[in-house]
Amino acid sequence: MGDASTREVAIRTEGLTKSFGSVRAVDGLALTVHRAEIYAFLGRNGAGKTTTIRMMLALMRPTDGWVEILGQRMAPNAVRAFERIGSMVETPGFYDNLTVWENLELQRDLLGLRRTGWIDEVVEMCDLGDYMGRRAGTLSLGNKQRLGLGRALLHKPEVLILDEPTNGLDPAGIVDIRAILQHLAADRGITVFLSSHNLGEVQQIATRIGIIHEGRLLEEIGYEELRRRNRRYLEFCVTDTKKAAWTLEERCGMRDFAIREEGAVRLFDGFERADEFNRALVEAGVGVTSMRMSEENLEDHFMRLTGGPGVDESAAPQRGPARRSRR
Amino acid sequence: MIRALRAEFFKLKRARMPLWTVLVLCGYAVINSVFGVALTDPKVGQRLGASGGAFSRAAAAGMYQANWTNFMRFNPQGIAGSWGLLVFGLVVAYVFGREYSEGTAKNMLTLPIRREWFVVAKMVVIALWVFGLAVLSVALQALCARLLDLPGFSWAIIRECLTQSLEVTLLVFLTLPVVAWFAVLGRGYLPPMGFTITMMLVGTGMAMSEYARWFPWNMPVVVIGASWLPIPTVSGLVPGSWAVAVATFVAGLGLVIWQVDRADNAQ
Repeated sequence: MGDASTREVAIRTEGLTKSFGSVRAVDGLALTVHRAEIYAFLGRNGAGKTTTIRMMLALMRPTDGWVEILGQRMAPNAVRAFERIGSMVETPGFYDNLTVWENLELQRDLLGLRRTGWIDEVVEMCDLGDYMGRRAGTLSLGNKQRLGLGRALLHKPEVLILDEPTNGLDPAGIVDIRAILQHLAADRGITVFLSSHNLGEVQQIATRIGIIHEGRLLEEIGYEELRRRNRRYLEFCVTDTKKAAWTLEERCGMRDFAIREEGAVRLFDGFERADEFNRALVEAGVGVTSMRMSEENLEDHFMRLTGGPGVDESAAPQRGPARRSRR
Repeated sequence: MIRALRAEFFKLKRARMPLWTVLVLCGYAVINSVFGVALTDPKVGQRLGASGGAFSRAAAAGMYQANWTNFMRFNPQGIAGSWGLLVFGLVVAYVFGREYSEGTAKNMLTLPIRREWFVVAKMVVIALWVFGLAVLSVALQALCARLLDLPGFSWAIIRECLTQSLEVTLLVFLTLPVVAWFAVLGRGYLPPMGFTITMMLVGTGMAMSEYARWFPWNMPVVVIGASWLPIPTVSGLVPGSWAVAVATFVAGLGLVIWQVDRADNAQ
């Protein structure tokens, strides 16, 4: 994959806004998704993820702004665009009286696909072989998700838009879906746009991440960039964070550290002096319950951006460098 | 359009609703038969006639005699005033409402097929369904009359019953897009059924009014009159009535298309 900025844009939104009365569910969203990217759209419940996806698929009319997918402005009856888009919004719905096979057959016919071989392909890919004769109404939530993904992939779309695709899946199912999405992006060049609040999941597959909070896009960042930006740290869990901070600063001469609310202190350099720090803290009467090396992950980043629990507000990036700050 | 139409028929595979609607028809035919058996006893007719008012007029007109003419008359009246409105409303609620209650609308609306084709395809399915039920109801009614061994059979009676049943069904059908609009607006089964029942009640209340021939949900009763439960009704429709009925159909269809095309389709 080349530099994202030089690759063709698959999805673009500009000033995308949706208001429900006085509530702005999505507020001036401008995001860019490049071809063959797996773009994870992260946000808490109610952040505006599903509303954004509905506007992308012309299921909702934006109050303002627009969405362009593969160069086509999205609107109801954007038939040419829909020929190239596969989608799954929230829990997929099926005709309960029809079997899994019949639901796929119905979709194939509606898409105007002649070859039934395409159904076999998605059945194999989504591991639906054992359920072909089962009525859709009797499927578990996880298998409905698989069937929904299969239906979205049936016409070999160039862009796949998925809303919480791993909802209801067991761990093995999540691994399967992850592998499928990675294969689609890497081998077939399909652009995957997925919304999620499962950070661990996203961390493993996304090549680019957009974080939405209260309807606004807080950040769009490549995962590699995020990894570069995130720092390694040495964390002490202590009984008295104030005293620990004073000790580290006055006795050890440390400046680059942060105090966490849950009774921990994170140091961002001087890792080779870990023993010395430990000794100094104990001598100062600070109880050290644990010490570990770690790295800021997506969850830390997400929490810091959205102001999550256990994260001090002073850690927000707009407040400047986190030197001697509480994160 | 053909793909959408084929899909709408395919969606009914193994669905129970078609069977339920046929069962309602059978139930209605059985109830009619019980009434028909009762009328074979002349005393029942005399007692009804002695009730006074419209009942006396109906008895004087020979409507409480057990014969093919009276028995077959129940059918178009059933479509106009009782089961027809409810069952046809249920058919519409099912065909449109299931897309929302089963969560399939969001898939349907993101297919590379113009959304209005789905609306048209659904209306075609509904038309075939309700006119099929109307024809079946005539056949069931005739079968019951035959089993009851009623006197006075002639093919002309069957033809008249069929013509009236189809005419009444057409008038009910012209109101169905409005019911469909309630299904897509309310995203399910209950709003269209609530609307249907409300219109049925309003129609009953207006049956004796001069405005009945202008109210689309009353027109089916107006066109055939009410004889088995005799109430004075305005006689017949005027050309303007048909224009109102067609305008209701066009407006209803327009509203449905606008709703699926332009409004937010959240589920």
